[in-house]
Amino acid sequence: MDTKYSPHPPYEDELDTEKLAEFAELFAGLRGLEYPDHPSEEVLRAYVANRLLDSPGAGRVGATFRDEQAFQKFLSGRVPRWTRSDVAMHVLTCARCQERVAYLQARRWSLLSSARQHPREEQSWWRRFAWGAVGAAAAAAILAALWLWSASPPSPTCWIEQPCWTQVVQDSPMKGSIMVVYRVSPGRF
Amino acid sequence: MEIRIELARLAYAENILRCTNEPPEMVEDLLSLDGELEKARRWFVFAEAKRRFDPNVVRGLLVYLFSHYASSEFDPHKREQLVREITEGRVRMRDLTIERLAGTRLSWEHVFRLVGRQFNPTREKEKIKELYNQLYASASLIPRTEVSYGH
Repeated sequence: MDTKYSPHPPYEDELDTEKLAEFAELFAGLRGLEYPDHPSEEVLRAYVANRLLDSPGAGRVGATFRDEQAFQKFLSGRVPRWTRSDVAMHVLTCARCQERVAYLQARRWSLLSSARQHPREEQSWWRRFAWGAVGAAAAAAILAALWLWSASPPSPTCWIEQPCWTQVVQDSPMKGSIMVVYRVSPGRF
Repeated sequence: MEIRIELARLAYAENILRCTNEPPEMVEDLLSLDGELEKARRWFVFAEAKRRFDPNVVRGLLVYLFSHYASSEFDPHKREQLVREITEGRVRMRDLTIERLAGTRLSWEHVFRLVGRQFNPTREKEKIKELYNQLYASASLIPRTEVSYGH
């Protein structure tokens, strides 16, 4: 099986004549329709940008034929939530929306073209170096602050006035241990 | 009503192109509400062909059909945009709709680029027609009569 694309197919003569004309009549009944509702500007913009979903959920199957109720809504032209297929069929048969889509498409196209003509300026090496140095310095400062914070003694869990403290130590059966701890780390009390 | 069913059949055809279609047997009743079962079957055969043959080739045939017959008016500006997107590889078949293809008159070369490989359109078309005969020709000979359970 040939999977590579080549601009010159081996059966070029056949391609010129093959028009699939037998299937043309499948489109014979297609004509303009009157619709009670039209997609909003926002929906059309999403359609043009190829951001509309095929169904309201994340399903892979289009919403139009999911159930009879959805199908009835499609037939009446009153869709509760526009899917890609709904918009495509609507625009295909609505002259007004065809113009709106053509306008949005042209605007999008000109924006994309101008973006291509003025690509983002490539940053010079010294600017990238400077940004890198600033980033490294900021990271070092954050690490240092974290290290200092974790090394500092914890804040006292309680505060006992000196007279009461003396009383506590005197009354405690663990008096000796408390005094030892107090001498080693007085900041904790 | 008839025209809306006609449109629903096209919506189904578009679903076949984007691979978001229900199986034909699930939608047969809905898409023949106007009595045009034959028309529905002519789209169903593409869905069935996608199951049996190379699905991307079948989708390529649909791209060509929509691009040439969904609109009687040729839109050179629309064609230029689409051809550019195809050439630059910025559009895939699952992104396309009938509306987007209508009036663009794509060449087979553009279709091949979308499909990602070449194929012989005449041969593929004949396979579709053959499949249609195989699936439905015998069915259409049998008249659809009311079944009677009378004594």
